[in-house]
Amino acid sequence: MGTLIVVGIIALVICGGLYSCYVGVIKNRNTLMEAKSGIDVQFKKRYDLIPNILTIASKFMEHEKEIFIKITELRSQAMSAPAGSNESLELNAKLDGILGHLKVAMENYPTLKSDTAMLQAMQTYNEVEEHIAAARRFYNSALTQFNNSVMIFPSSLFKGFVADALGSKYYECDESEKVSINAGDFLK
Amino acid sequence: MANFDYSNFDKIYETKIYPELAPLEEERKKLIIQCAVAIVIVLVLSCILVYLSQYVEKITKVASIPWALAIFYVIARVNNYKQTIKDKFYQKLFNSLGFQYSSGSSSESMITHICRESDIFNRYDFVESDDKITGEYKDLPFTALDTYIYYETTDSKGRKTQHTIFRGILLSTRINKPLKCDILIKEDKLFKAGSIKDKKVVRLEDPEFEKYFEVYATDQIESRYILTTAFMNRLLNYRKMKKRPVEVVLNNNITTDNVFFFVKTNKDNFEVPIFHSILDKQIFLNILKELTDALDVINELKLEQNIGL
Repeated sequence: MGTLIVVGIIALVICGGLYSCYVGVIKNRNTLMEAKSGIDVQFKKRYDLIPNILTIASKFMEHEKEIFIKITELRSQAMSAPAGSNESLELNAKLDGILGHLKVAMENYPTLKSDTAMLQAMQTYNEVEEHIAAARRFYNSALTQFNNSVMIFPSSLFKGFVADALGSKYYECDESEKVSINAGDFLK
Repeated sequence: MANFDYSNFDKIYETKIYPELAPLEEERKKLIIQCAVAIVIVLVLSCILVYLSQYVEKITKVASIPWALAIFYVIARVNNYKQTIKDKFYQKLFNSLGFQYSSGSSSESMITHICRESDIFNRYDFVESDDKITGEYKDLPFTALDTYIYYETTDSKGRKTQHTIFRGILLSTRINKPLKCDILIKEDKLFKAGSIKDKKVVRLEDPEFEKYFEVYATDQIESRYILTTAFMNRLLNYRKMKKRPVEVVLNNNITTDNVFFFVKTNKDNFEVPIFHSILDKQIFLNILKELTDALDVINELKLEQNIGL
């Protein structure tokens, strides 16, 4: 009888431990999903803002049509990519790069830089960019937590329950963003 | 570190403070002698009581009464002396930096409100504040309060013990960045809470920052919008530079201010020492430095700036 009780207690402890691992994995998966949708919310704000910026900029930047076309194309592709997918993350990383080029190009148009509507649009844009950066940091942090839980035993036993979230990639900036900035461009 | 201009202090000290210090220095010397005499009297009285206890039973029970009276007398006299100095000079002293001084007791309810609304401390029974300095630094309005927060426990014999939760300076000011969530930055503890009421733990990417602080917020993204890597770096630098624990509350719904720094000093701030000549200019300079040390957090975190916070 005594042995049975001891075995029962051990079984209960093991089941309890496994259940808490399961709960942990599910919670981490849900946090990851929340983080993904957080990025999408911020991306949506940027998609809405881009046409305004392009409309104002196109009045002044007649020689930069190529950049405008690229931005418009990437925006449409990113908007049609499934929300929270790796494809959406990659397209938005490319969009970051090309928008960075636009900002550099704007430096050559002093009248555009001092335009009130543009100043307001750029202020909002900077705020949205900071929010996107914050959302990406949350996503990367949530992904680390999730990866730890599905890779470390015993919670790794439950990775089959969260298969939909496996294979999520860390956010990394686009190659074009890694190019070093030439300070001379800004000091002309 | 911020560079404060003390040239005005020198002028005010020479013309408005120093000329009035001589009588107070005499009073201080007298006070020390009177307190020493009181302690000697109590000591002699205690010896007599101990001697008499051989002959009279129960006399030891009253032996502590003279000590209690002596301690009460000394504390009351010292406090009275310190208050006189505060009343006479502190307004002039802090005016030299363009700030205003007043008694902090009227702010105790506000401190209680901040503690309650922010959930920064698990438990507190009493809040005391005796000094309040207000003004503007780097175009940001601020209030600095010398603060003592503690709770009391009573043991089985009915003896009360005070447990200090916080002793230091509470600095309240504003940040120029839109704040859309409540954030709590606490010193890192051994046993971390997963959440504090509606605030969830925020895991940040800087391992050194995580070593010193634990962060809780009502919104994961908005909190990271405020806690940029630059902000984390700067807070960490301030913490290391001052070698003092600092906890931060960022909340829009408590007072007109939205950021509150609890800078731990573990001492009663803005006080003149009793065993040091009041004629020493350095004493007053040190009092100002206690404030400017706390204000350095505004400078270090670049709170006056919107971008790059």
